[in-house]
Amino acid sequence: MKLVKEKHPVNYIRVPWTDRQTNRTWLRLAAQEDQDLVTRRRAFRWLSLAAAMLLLVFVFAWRAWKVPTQAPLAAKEVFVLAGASVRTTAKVESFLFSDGSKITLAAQSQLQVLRSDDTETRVTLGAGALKIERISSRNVPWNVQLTGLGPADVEMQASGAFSFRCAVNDSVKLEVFQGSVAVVEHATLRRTLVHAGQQWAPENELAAAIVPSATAIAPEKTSIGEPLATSVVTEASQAQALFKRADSAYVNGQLVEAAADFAKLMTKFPKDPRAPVAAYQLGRLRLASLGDAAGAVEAFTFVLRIDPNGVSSEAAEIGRIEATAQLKDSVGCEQYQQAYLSRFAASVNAPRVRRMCTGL
Amino acid sequence: LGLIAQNPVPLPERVSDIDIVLAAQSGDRRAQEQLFRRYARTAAGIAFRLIGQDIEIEDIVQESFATALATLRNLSAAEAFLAWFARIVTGKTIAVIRRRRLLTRLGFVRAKEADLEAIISKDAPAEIVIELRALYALIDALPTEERVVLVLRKVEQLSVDEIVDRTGWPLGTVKRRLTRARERLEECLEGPRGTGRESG
Repeated sequence: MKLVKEKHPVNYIRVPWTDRQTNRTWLRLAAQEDQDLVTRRRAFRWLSLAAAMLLLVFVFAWRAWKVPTQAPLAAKEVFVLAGASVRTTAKVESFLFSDGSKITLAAQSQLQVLRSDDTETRVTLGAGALKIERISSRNVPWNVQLTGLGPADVEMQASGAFSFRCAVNDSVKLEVFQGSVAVVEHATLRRTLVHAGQQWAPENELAAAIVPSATAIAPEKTSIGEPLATSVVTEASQAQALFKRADSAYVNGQLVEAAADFAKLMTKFPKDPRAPVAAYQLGRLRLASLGDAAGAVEAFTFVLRIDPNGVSSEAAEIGRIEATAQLKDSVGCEQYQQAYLSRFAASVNAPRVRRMCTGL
Repeated sequence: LGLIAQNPVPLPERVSDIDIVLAAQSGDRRAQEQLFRRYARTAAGIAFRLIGQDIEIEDIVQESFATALATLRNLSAAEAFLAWFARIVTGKTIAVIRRRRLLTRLGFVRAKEADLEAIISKDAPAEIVIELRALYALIDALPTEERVVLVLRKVEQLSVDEIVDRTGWPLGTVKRRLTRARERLEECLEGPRGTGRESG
């Protein structure tokens, strides 16, 4: 059977569509377009925000990833951390420190990084020469100790923005290009300030008069030269040198030597302003590292006696309680605890102190 | 497509299709409305004849125009608007048929029989009435694709090439589907279960 082609079926189908439906559908369509526009705008805003956030995250991630890897790629410069020991062979090498300073180490040089943090950068140059530059004017002190010269050890201190070169081959030599550098000769404890454009080298006669630093601090044991207490070395400078040596030993991990020097300073120069700090340091060393809690109590008590209202007094009080707690001395612990709480009841440390003697 | 043009919607203004399409492409809101008013009934007709019932016709018209107006800038030849728009309407209608079939199978909607008396005009010749009754009684039993090609061929009177253009399906596929659907229709018309024969 075939359809009649001349008569189209399409013409005989009634489409149920009215003008009212046309109007209604047009209104719905217009409303839908408006709604779509609002949705699109909202989606665009969210997408923009998400894109901005992604970009921000990407930038931070890129910077975090890029900074450490950039140093070795940009030049022969790497970051050095505390404890690093660097020895150059035939070529010059550069290193960066966390404070933004840069060291250029000459060939055949030997450098030991003792400390590199927010409070101080301290290095020891055993051989060769180095140039140090720091553009930023940060007040983190820089300390270069030139060793290998026996009693003629020299320390150079600088802060802020500076640039200087020092060598420790046959003799010590310093040349300052920017800023100023304080040179401390350990043997004589002489301190010389060298400014930009100046050079410095130890005087020949000084080298002849040098005495070992250990004997310089203990004049009664000196066998050569005049007793230091009556000549160049004053009491204050002796205490200063002793403190520096103790601190240096502490930084180097020579805790027994550090404790001995702190104890010496405490007993020989109790009126020196460094004595309370030395005594406190001694107490911490004995308590935390040397297993001498009874000695720690003595040191902390000494701090409180010579400087009862000093900056270390609260810490010394706490240290004394910790030490007696370590000794299982409940009576002493509670006695020191009461003493502490009567003075520092409102301190942030008070809650911790209240728990220290429990369970003894 | 020629047949669609034979049933023109009364024009709100005597402006050519090409001018309206060009103006609508440039974003003229009044031209877009004019385009809508001119072709809303055409779109409803295409959808209604494919579905066979007055179901979701307004939605199909709205969605078809929403798509058409959003993509009108992509239309390179303004004179081909009607063919292009008919493709959009057909696609939307096929999607609706498929969705309704799925929902019916899943039991979410109830199948509705076509009201043949309402569809077919009173002044239709007897042979056309028989043909249309048989066709609309059968199409719900056909797969969607066969149903579409059958309606496009038998009702819309499109050639095979025009069906290919309208649906976007390959020529061979259209021919195969059309042959199968036509066989079923002829079986329906000649067999004892033929609705058209009973009522004709």
